[in-house]
Amino acid sequence: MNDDSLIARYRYGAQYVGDFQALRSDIAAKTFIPHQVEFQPPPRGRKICWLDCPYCYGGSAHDDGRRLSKSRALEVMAQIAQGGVKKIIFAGYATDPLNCEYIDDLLRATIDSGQIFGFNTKALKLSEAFLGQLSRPDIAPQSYMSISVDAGCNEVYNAVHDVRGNAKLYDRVLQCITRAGAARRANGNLFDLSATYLINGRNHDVAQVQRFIRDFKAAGCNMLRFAFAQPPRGIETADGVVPTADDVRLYGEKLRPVIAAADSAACTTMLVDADSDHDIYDKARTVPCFARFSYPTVGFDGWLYHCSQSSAPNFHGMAIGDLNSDDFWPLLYDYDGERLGDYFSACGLRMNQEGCRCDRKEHVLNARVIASGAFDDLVVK
Amino acid sequence: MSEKLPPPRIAILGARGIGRVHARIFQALGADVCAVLGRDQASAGQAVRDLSDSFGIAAVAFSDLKTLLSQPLDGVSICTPPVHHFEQIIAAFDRGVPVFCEKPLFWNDSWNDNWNEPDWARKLASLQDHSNRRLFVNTSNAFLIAAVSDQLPPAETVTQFAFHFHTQGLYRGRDIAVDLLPHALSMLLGCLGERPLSDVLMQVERYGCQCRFSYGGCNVAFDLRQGPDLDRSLGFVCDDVSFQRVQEGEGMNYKVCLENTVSGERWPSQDPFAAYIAEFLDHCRNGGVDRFDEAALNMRLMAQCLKP
Repeated sequence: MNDDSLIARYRYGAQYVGDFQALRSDIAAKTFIPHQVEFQPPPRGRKICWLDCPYCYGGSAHDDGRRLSKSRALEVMAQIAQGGVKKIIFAGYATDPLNCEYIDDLLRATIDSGQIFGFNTKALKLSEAFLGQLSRPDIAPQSYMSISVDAGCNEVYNAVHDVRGNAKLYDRVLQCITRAGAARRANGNLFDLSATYLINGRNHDVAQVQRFIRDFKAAGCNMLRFAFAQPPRGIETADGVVPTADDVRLYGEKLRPVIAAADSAACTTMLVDADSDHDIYDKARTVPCFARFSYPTVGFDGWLYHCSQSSAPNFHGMAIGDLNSDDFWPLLYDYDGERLGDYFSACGLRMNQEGCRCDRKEHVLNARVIASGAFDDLVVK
Repeated sequence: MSEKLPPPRIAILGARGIGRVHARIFQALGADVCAVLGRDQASAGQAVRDLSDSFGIAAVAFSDLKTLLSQPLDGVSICTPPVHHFEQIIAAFDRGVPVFCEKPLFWNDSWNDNWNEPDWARKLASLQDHSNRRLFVNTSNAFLIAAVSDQLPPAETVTQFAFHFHTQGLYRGRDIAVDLLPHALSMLLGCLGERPLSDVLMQVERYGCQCRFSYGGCNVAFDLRQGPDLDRSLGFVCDDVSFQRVQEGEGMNYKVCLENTVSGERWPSQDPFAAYIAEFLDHCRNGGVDRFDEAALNMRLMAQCLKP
């Protein structure tokens, strides 16, 4: 049976900050340790992602060709672990973490350090070496793999992800997850295996959803989360790619009973409408931004960024620094702790000018910290 | 098709007095008023909230000038007390940021009692010689002259020039002169151009200053007053021609005219403040000659008037 913390995390309810006053003190004293570090492993080749999903928030990302080398990546990982960070999330900004030639080494280093790992991936390919790591008996509790699927058959998968032709990518993903599920069972379910489904105009059919639920429960997932696609940053989307507020209501009314009926002790199924819950529909960002202190992100180019949504070279203007030349902790603590008000103002100004966009997790975190009142004298509400 | 340029990013240093007006006009002219400097975070935050509530301006608050100037900016508007102007202008120049500065260009309160010519001259020279100098000083009332220039007698024939400016400002005594002389001098320069100034007689009272001098053969009299009960008034006399500034409407919709005090005839003027800020924004976008020379001349005449 899934515990409440897993369900909370998948409802954007993760407690990245326990004590807001302590966070403030730790920020001022430069003693905070991020709840997690997000790592965007460098992609192979010049096409930085397997797919060109039309709703991808990284669709406007630039690529200047720079990549974090394997040796430097492992050095940075070691620095992060030695500094006390307990969780590493492998994800992508216009990339997929599994589309990295040394992802197995990064996962090995994470498990060796006793850190929790997380993967947010399309899982189009899983290597034997990677599956071997997933089978280890020393995986830290609360580790997870979350696979973005968004469909219940090949045709819809291709339509949702703008894949031309008849490639059987849904089948391939299902096969990968089945293998990951087997690895999970082999080590006693030490990590959570989830599949996610972003509902939009191309995949809201009830039968499609039911088939997805059936297939991925059978593959060994213990969590299936449904949500609604968000407007991506900096690109126009075709009709149906991002649901309107009315669409969200209609799709929700139709699918909520189907999803609720599938919920079980072995596999939680849930529909999360965070935009309505937190009043963030189509909102660009919530500032001041506390991402740096909770989940700073190593970009595929080796720069350290505030968050996963701003981790590409086009955000160098607001980035924290370059890990190719500087170490993790000196960069992370490189700000004026005695003038935090100015720090937050400068960040907010840069973020407005660079046009970054929060994902739901970031909206919710920033809103919670602001609502705590711990920074009231420093920030303008 | 030409690409639309992003709006110039302007920071307001001191936005709770005249800076509030600067912010409103900058925004109305299409600038992005993105940052505000206050003496501390609370003060800056209060100004930001006020700008947001009053004008929908989304600025962020800073208490440290160095941090503010390290942001990407296209210009700063300095609206702090005059004693801070010099250091803030230099700091902006050092970062390559053009400056729109409230008048006077700079002033030290201590100079009212202990005039320090070397310090004053050094500061003026430092500004003049700065390699990144791009400076406008708000003596915008001179724009009023343009509205009635063809109604004025030839400058070389003028033997009497009088200017009065009454406001509800908070300065008292000699500080009234520091605050309003730049306007008076800009009007004089607009009417008569540069001449030698001599025989200064300055009479200071709690709510006003009378300043008389000879200006290349023309007798000049300034009547500058500030007080809570005063009717706001600005006017000038060139020999037998007399005009006063008249405002029609209020807030964002006000219009400025000059009215002949004898005939009652009115000549519409550009809003001097908006016109001057528009020039500054154009300079921020396109470069060109700054207004330092004009500001420096005004400053030299002001120093001559105020030297004990």
